[in-house]
Amino acid sequence: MQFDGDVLTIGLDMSMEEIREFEAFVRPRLEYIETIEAEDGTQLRNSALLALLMSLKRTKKELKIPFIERGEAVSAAYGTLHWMCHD
Amino acid sequence: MESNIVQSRKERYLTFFLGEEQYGISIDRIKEIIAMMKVTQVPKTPHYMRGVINLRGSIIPVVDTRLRFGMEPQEETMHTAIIIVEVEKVNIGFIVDRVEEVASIDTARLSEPPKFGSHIDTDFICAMAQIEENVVMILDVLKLFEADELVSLEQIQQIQMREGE
Amino acid sequence: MTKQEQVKAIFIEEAGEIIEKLDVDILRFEENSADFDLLNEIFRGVHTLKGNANAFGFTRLGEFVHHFEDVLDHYRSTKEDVEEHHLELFVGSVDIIKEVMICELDALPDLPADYAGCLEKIKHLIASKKNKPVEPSIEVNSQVFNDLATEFAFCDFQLDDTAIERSIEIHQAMRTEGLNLYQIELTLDVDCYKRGFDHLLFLKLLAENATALESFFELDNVPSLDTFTSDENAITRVSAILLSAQTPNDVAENFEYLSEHEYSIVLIDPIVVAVEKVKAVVVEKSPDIEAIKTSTANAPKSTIRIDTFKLDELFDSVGELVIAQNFIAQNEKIRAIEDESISRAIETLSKITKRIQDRVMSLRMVAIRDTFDKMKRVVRDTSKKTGKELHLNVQGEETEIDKTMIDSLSDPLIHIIRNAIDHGLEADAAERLSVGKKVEGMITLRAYHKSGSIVISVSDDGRGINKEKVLKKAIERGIIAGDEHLTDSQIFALIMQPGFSTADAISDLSGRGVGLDVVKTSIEKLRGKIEIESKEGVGTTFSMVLPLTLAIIDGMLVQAAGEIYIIPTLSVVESFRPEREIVHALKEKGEFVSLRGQHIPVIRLSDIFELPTKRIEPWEGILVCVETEAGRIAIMVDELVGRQQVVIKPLGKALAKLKEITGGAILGSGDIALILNVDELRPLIEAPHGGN
Repeated sequence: MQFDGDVLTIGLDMSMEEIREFEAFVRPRLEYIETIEAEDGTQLRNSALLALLMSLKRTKKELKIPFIERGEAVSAAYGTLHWMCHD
Repeated sequence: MESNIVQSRKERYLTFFLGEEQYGISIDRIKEIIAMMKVTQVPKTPHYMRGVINLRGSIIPVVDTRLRFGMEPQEETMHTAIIIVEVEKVNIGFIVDRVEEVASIDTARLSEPPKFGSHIDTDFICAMAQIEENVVMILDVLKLFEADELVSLEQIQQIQMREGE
Repeated sequence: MTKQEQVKAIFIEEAGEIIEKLDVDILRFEENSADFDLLNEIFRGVHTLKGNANAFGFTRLGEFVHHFEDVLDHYRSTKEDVEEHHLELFVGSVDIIKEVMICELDALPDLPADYAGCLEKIKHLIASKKNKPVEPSIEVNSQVFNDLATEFAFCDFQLDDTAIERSIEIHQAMRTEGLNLYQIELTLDVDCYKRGFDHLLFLKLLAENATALESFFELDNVPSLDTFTSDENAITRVSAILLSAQTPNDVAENFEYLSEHEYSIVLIDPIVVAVEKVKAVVVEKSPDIEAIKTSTANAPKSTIRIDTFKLDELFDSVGELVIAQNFIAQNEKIRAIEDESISRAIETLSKITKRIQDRVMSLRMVAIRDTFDKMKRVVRDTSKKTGKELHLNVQGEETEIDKTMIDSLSDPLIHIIRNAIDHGLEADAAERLSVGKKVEGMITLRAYHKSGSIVISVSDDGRGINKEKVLKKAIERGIIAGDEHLTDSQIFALIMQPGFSTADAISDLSGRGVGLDVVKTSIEKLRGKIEIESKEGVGTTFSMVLPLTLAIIDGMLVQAAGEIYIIPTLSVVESFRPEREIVHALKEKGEFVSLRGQHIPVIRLSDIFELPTKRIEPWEGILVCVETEAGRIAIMVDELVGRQQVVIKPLGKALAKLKEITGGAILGSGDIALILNVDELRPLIEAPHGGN
């Protein structure tokens, strides 16, 4: 996880434990985060992260999470995932 | 000074000779022992300071132990050695006539040093031991260093607390 | 987590560096507020500081910096002119940042006095600017994503049954003999994560044996952070369309450990429908996005952090390598071999060793630029305090100096500069004009290399030093007797003696010249010296001459009474064998040699060091004439051995009290040579005639 300026870069392949830590980390700092980027080469590993990112998006609408906004993720490991990002 | 705790604990000492007399230094303080080598004189130092030696790139001062303890100087022989002693990162070499052995001495068998009858300033002797028929005088290295102002009194107290003397 | 502590420590170090750079940059910007590249750099620094500060809980710093960043952002995007008073505010803000950083690091409860005031002003500034709505610079990233979004009309993307149906259609079209089409619904319980399951796990299991797999996550019920917790499953449903050769039983096996209600599998019958072959729209990671991402990151200067301790160890090892290499090169036995290939090999070894030594030494060298930049601030502040207008001229910023000396240089340099401005320059503009000078005083800061040393000089074009006044004061204070022949430089040097002062009034800036003797001692600790040149009415120059590096010294090897000594070449003026005629012996005053009108005292090392040796006459030996702070002396030695760069080895505590010796050096032969401190050799001569 890297925090540079107001951009938070995370690895999508977080384990459950890491997702919990990440949640704890982000909660108090939401005000200062403008964007959450996904680290290159990482793939979603646990659906809890998807839910968390969605929750963050819901909590702070201006928060840019390109990964979530795309609404899709493709991987040889799990095929194509779709989700809806309501605004 | 030492209290008379009767503890049966064996400690190791390096013993060496200055003339006929045998002395010992706790091996904890000894860094290494080397054969006599070229000593570069350093001017304006006490007469017992022989000079400095090059020990693998470090310059270490050496003391002529005989002169330090007020004995007559003696010609070097093939047995003459330098004992490098280290206290609080300060290294000093002591030139001695002959290094004898590392002896294991039971601390219970150490006794008070004599107040007289030795060449050395008895302040520097902290105990006496008997190894077979020989009398070995154990040197108080910390006192020696402090007398030469190589180590301060506070440092000595800290060392003693650390080592539970 | 000590990892956290480690990372925090790095942040603190980096933050310190960023703040230092800010300090320098903001001043530069003040001088040239049209430099928008510089403004951008300042912005970046503040920006990085903000993110890191918050990440580590330095919220006070973070808050201030957050608003400061907004202001900077405004100016850098609009390229609006920054007014004078706002520049002041910026400079003041950097000061606040420095102070708040200290508050945070020391966990002080109170904020610096100006914090609130400064923050208010910043906020006001932002507010006033916001009246003209200016779009903040748009991150290129989001722009691209916005395009993507419109392209795929994701706002219109209805994730409901229509999507699923579409998917089924597509997959039906992909269907071939032997492949089954399933619709699988996952409705995992809230506690599934705690049981070790998650949706992706099942999808992966399915994908292992699948031809195609497409899933739809229902995230509608994911709440905002208030009620959310990652521990509990918030994804109500995942619908998956699976195209696989697996039998329904095989597929069902994947869900063995789930409760009945948590999943359902439906086998879809093949439908013979003429469906247009729909191109599967797969969103691949657009290569454009990748490229843009990397370009927004600044191309970082390629540097690496090195523990200075490791650098010192490397340096020591190289020193020993040089010694060992010398040993081989000078070894008699090896020389006696007289084989050309061996000679060549040894020469190559020497060259390479020297090159390694130079390179390692250069690792420790840094440009003096940063120190000089700090001085710009000092000059500015002193100028304001004294009310004297002045111009600072800086030369040789790129001159390199040993890193370990840089810290010790700051204070002396500051003292000298303040002294130059305070005492050197005329009291006011009127005085300057009356002697035909421009109102603006000129201070020149210069750094350059000169024969193995680095020279840092501070010049002012002020009053200059009045020699008579200095002599008078010196005699008054008992610093000199008054009958010595002193050269100009020696007279000027008197002002650095403790207890001296030519200032008539106490100046709180540099103290009654009290700083100068401290400066002198500090420079001498670095094995350097200070030279003063001055011309009345024209100006004064203070020059600090320092060795290029503290660990190595360029020395002249001499032999006296059977031992080898080293005289630092820095001090050597010349060496020669004197003619009998020019040597004089004066009762009570010792021996002298007359050279070009000057009488130079002869100092016998054998006497000073009480070395037992056959006494010879000066004309039978060699005199090495050296420059000491008290004048020239001629050191008498038996012979010159050579000139060499040697690594200085400390003699250790036991011998540290010897003033005449600064350390030892290990020669190629393995022998030790003592390095002489020529400045301490003089007093011995003066003792006989009772001077103190």
